[in-house]
Amino acid sequence: MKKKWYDVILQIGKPYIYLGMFIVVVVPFLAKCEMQTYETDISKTMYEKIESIYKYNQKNADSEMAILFAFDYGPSTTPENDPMVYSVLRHIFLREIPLLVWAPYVPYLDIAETRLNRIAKEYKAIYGKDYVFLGLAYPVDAYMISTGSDFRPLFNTDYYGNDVYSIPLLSKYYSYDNLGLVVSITSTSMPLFWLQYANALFDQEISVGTTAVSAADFYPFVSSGQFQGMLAGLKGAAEYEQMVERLENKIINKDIKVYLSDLYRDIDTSQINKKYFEPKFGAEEIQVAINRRSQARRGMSSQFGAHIYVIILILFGNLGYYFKNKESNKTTVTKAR
Amino acid sequence: MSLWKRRLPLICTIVFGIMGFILQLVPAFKSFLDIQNQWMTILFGFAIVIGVASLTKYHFKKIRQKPEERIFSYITFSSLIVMAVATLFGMKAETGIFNALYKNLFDYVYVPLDATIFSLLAFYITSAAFRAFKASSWLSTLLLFAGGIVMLGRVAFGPLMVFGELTQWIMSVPTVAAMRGIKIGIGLGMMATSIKIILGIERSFLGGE
Amino acid sequence: MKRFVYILVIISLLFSAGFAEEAENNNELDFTPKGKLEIKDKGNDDGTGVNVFFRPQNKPEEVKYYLLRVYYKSVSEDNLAAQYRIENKDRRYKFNVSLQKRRKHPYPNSRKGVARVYVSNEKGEAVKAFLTESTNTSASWFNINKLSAFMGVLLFLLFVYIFIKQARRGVEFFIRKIPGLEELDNAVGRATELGKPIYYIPGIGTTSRIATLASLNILAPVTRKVAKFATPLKVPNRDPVVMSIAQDVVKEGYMAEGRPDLFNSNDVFFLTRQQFAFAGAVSGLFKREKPGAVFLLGKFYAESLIFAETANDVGAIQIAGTDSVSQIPFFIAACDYTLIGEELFAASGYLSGDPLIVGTMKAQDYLKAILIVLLFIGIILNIFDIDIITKYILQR
Repeated sequence: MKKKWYDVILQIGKPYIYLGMFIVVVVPFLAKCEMQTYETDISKTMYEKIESIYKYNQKNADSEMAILFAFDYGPSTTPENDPMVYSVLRHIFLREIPLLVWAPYVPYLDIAETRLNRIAKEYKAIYGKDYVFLGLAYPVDAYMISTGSDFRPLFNTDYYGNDVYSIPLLSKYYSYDNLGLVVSITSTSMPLFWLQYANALFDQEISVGTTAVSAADFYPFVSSGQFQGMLAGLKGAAEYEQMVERLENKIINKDIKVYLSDLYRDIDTSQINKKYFEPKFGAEEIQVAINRRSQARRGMSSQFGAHIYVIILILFGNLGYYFKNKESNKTTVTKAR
Repeated sequence: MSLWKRRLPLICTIVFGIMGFILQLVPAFKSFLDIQNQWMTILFGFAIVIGVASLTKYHFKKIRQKPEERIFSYITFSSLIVMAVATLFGMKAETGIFNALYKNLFDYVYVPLDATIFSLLAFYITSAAFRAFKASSWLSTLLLFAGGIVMLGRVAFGPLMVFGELTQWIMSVPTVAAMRGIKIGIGLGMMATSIKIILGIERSFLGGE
Repeated sequence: MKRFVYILVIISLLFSAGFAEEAENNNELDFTPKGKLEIKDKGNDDGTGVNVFFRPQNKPEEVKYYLLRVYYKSVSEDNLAAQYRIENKDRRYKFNVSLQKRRKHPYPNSRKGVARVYVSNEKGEAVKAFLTESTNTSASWFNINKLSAFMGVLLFLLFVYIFIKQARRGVEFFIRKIPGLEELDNAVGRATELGKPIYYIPGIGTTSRIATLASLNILAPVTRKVAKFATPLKVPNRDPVVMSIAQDVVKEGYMAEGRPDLFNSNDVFFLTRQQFAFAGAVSGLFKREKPGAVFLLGKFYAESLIFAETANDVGAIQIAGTDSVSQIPFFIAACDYTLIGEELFAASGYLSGDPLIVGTMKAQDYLKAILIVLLFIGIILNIFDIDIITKYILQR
């Protein structure tokens, strides 16, 4: 019996479907297509929250608020979470908000350290004065609860082994009282821990950046106001990237290439501790830093391809089912006669 | 009812469960909560020893029983040892061979491997969507349309912006409504299960009645 | 007379020396430092928190900075709890200070907090102390913010008591059919017919997740069903503690059915703590061993679809259940049967039919009904701008 067209469609092997997916994702990415996206309210809320901390700090120079940034994601979701981290950290450093960072699991530590220092370097941030990497906070619920009073006794030292009591930033910021916001960038259910402990017990405000897979989990908390905005998946990252890019252009007001190559040129770099980052920019590094500024928007082009591909597949699949059902109904009717 | 297998764990569960409840309600005992948190860290540290012992036992037995698959067990053992040694000596060190080994293993083996498994989701989701989004009843047709709109809306621009706005509405109104319903149910279920466990009504997890 | 003059001179010298010392400490200022300092117990805490308020009252040209130091117990360098530099502005500063002594866990539930304000110089050093206030804190014995949660638990316990009493008297409660659990026998049966193993994944959560405990509770009846057919049951784990509990549960399950010979501790094993390494290992096991039935019950995250699709690929019957809301859609898309949310928690009662557990399920339903009624009243009152229920009952 000759195969009908819908049979062919319905019997496409999984490997071919997967190959198609591979192509629509890889081609736009390699071609470096960038996609602008519209900005949703939930991303704007998060941006505005950080802006409001900046404004508060401007007015209250002696009781500034800090941000606690939790690297709640592992190596697996770096492609989706990294662009969020980059743009949010960029925003924080641009606005010179004191920054504390921790990570809840050992494999997250290395990721956190490289990302943090990478961005700190682009804004001449000084370790211990502008930002601190506290290191491992495991089990994280213990640390979240301790931050209600003082997290220092649990840490003893920061990631680099410095005594927490000797770090200038930590003499002021060690509990939720002086934290304007907790930012959790994650692929896990960590925001729910933050909600249970930091928000419910200590009224701490929280913003979240999460992978698209888990975003649906957190929408209820965003609309109830328990989360101060959310970056949902790569799209959220792309939105934030756009907003921070506008801010950066406004504040720096210079070509990024020129800005980065001049950054450490005329200052005495012997004062800067090279343990955290090398205070100079090579040509290649500048290019990488520039590319990093549009990472999410490049990813969006792949996502566009993938979404359209899945829609087409679903459409074809349903057409196939429809005509096959119609045909089989017809044959049963004829047989019945 | 044996003491070690049943009665003691049950007593521990009840005592620590009620204690945990009280610690949450009475702020005056907060310093005890801090101690409990510190103990937790230590206990978790010991647990990994049990895990590694189990893994080793499993693979030794496998090497004996299925010699044709023993290569995988050797790979497991060598990965376990090399990564443990590299992390132990290399993670905190600033230079040296162990640090280089750790950095390279982490950045160029572990991170890509982990990301690869996660990205497999892109493929699995296509085949799952292909099966799930079938217009067989009016409910599934509704799901199909909602899914289509959200997929288009997430990547919308220009003339497709209408999907973008619809997506925002779908994600923040109907989705949230359904999620809240499920979440309230889950919350109550969790509370009921916890209380059942604390009161010793539910003890299947201790291995039977 | 001469002697008298000498004595006078010596005495005056001594006095002036004394004054000079005092002046060195206090750096004579050409203005009077002024301000309003208050220290109050924070309340509703463990007695470590104080709120300190300070309002500067000097002209900015007189004092640019003040220094506030808060001490635990008494003024001494050792007891310093916090230090703040305050810019002289016309506003009231508020500081939340913890009197917990560094690195130590003292247990007194009441302590003394002392706040002292200094005039400070440009370098941030203390120049002259001019205000000192102190207060005694006390620990509270009930966290008022948890009142409604506490009442909810009490109410639940009351319901549990009533329904357990009824259950003991032999009253039977109705539970609606849960398709996923009804299919349990079929799934085990089919795997036995095909001569394939059964895989049970208790999620990737630790024992502190209730979903993991719920899953371990289901593992017990599943093991007993499996023991009847002598089908191999394998339980890969991501958490060592969960693994040791699962081992006991499986062992007891086999023993309860009189088949301790079937138990092999190597069938309940630990794989890895890494989420995606675990996902990779488990899907590898699925591909190689081609199980006839797969149970995915417990806490799952992004790897849920990897498990479900691989199991679907090898043709296994899959029964899944999780309380991770974002993973439920994936399970529904890829698995044959899915326990949605609280069905997972209800499963052990459903399977065992234990009247005590079913009684608590009934209690849970009543609490849910009360919550729904409260929500509705709250919504209606909120329309009229009365937030008494949402603010004081539901949010507390």
